[in-house]
Amino acid sequence: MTSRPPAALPKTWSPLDFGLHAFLVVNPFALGLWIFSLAPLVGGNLFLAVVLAGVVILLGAVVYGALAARWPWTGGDYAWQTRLLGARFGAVVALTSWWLVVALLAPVYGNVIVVQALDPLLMHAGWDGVASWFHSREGTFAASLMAVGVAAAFVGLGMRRAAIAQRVLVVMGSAALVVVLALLVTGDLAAVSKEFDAKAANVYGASPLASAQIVEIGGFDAKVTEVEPGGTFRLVPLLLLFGLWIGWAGPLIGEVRARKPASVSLALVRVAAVSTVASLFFLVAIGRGSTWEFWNEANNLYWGTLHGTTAATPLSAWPSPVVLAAWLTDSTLVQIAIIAGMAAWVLGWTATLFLSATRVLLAAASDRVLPNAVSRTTGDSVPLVALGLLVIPACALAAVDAYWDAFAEWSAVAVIALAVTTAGSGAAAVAGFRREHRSLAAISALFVLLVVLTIGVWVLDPVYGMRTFGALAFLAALYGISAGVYAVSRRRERKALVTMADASG
Amino acid sequence: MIPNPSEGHHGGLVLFGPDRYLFIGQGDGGIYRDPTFPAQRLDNLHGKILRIDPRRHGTQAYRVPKDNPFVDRPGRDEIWVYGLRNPWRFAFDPATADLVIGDVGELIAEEIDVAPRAGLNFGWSCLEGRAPYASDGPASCARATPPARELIRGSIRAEKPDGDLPTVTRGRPRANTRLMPGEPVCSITAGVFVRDPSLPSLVNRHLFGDFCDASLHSFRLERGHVVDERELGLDVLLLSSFGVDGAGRVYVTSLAGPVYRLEAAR
Repeated sequence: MTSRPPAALPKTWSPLDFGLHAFLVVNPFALGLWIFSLAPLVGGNLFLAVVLAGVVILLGAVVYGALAARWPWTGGDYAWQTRLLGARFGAVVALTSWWLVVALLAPVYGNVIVVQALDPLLMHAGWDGVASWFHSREGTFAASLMAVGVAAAFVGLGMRRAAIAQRVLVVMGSAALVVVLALLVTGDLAAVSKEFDAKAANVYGASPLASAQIVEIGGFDAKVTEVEPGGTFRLVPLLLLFGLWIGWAGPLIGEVRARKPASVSLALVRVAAVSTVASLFFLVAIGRGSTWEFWNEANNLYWGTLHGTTAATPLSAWPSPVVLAAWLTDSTLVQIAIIAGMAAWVLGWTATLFLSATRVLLAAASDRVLPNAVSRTTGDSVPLVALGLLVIPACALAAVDAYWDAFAEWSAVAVIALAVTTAGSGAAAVAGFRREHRSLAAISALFVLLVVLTIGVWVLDPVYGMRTFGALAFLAALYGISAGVYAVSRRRERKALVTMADASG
Repeated sequence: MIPNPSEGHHGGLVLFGPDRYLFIGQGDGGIYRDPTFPAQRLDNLHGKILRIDPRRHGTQAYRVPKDNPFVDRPGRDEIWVYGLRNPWRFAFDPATADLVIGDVGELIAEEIDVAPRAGLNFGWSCLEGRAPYASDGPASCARATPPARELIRGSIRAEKPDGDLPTVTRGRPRANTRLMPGEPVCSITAGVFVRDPSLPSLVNRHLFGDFCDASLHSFRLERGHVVDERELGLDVLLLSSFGVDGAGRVYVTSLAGPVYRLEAAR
């Protein structure tokens, strides 16, 4: 085991930039809203589940924060696991999630861009045909390419300009968020129903009684005051599908200039707290503005209509709480401005797709697990070859995803690989801190246990649909590819060694 | 005279059947979410199609045919079929005497129900179409006959629904699964089988339409199933009823004013 840092890059980010990047990853206004809408498929008390998931995320922030403060190495998960747990294990686990799985994720990001940003914006602008096209196979592929483009452009900006870009997005998103919260909190049920009916009919051609119909046929009893422990505990792993990635910015830690190591730990803890509190505030505002029952029933009908398990939804679109809030204003331009403003959160989240992954590939190349060329960067710390290693397979896999339905079902299981890497870093923290900081080691062990339990629920609970032979075989194949890459690299390394016999000869 | 507890859902048609008895379409009384489930109860006449012999019989204004399904059984003798919301129009298939009922829906679905025999329960107000409407209904709901055809209100459909249990990781709408708004429907008007030989493409087909969706449709009935449904290519705004004259010619009425007669294209 060695403590040699795997790569060195200029330290251009402040702890604030590091924290903002981490927040964009787990912000509840992008993938979070999407996940919240799925809650009726599981049941339980969403408010309570957010708090419980928040505890897991907070533990993750403590673990990742401690690792980042103690070993601020470029490559994050890869660096910690190869150094603290073993080179082979760390390389296979980290390359699977940070290379192969990240390359698989573009369609998920593309879908959120379409549903939460493009579709409502285009429909409000009156471009229904374009909005519909984005739901075709070609449109799905194009949306995935957009996600790849946004993520690649963010890396291409270089770290200094990327920091500015994400600050701008957070300011834009926050301004829109304030407006959305104000609208939801001040609107009463009667106003929401009336405006919803009028605007849903105008924008989506819904029945003029759509809100009453949703309440009537929604078929879901959303819990507010009841604990309902079974359903609530089942909801926690669902929420962790977007919240568990609190350490996503970890691979960038080598580029953060922190006067005190504790400042990066604190940044992650703050991110975890803000993400959970913001989730709760937003959900309370939805409940206050449009009524909890109405929003949940609209979600239940949306998913039920797609799967043919409920009566048909009266609203032909994902029931976005942002759109519900925007409909409390009368001007189409203001509605578009609000939706576009909140789209900054989606854009910022999409921008985070590749940046950390490039640092993992860069660190692996420094260790000669990947070819040396992968470690090359421009003057602005842009690792072009590493970026290419992500962009090219991401585009190819996006095409496969768009045109082959079975692949989309298999690839969903790849999220398990991300969680395994998260648990791996928790285990690295246990190994690293077990002598010098036993309480941190204990917290890390608890975090690992919770992540393993989460993975168990994802695999075993049929609502996650991951326990299929195709999906699990696909996951095994991903690890197989990484193991193959690692084995080939070691073989090449052994061949390149100069032996004593060679030297003396 | 059947007292109605509200202004709505009186039914809308009385019609002599092929057996020369009088069939009466009677709505459920129109109380929104009526907790007594009148259409499911057999001790009243609401939400039913009734069958009587209208000839005076001694002191009685009418009599009940002895082969009605609830004669000598618990329930009102007049009931022929039940579990209906508002059977605005109905008709008999001239070939089989199957009863075809257009039952107007509440929020979810318009129904075409087919009764090849008496005593059937069509599920209202436990079910609307095939969807649950009220979950606390009586045990009779479990024996409901599903509609032969349902028109989904608001008419939102997934272009490619999975039709299996939803999972969160397949929650991402995949390609071609957009929710598509179709033609809105709001109040079905069924009710005439075409016999007019001058309309050869419609002979032996049942005509129906909807108050909100102007297009007229037709179908054939095959062993109690709705088959070969087609659009006629004719629109009638605010469709209210169909009728047939003594020569078998078909008429369509509209609350916009006109009465139309169907003729073959020249």
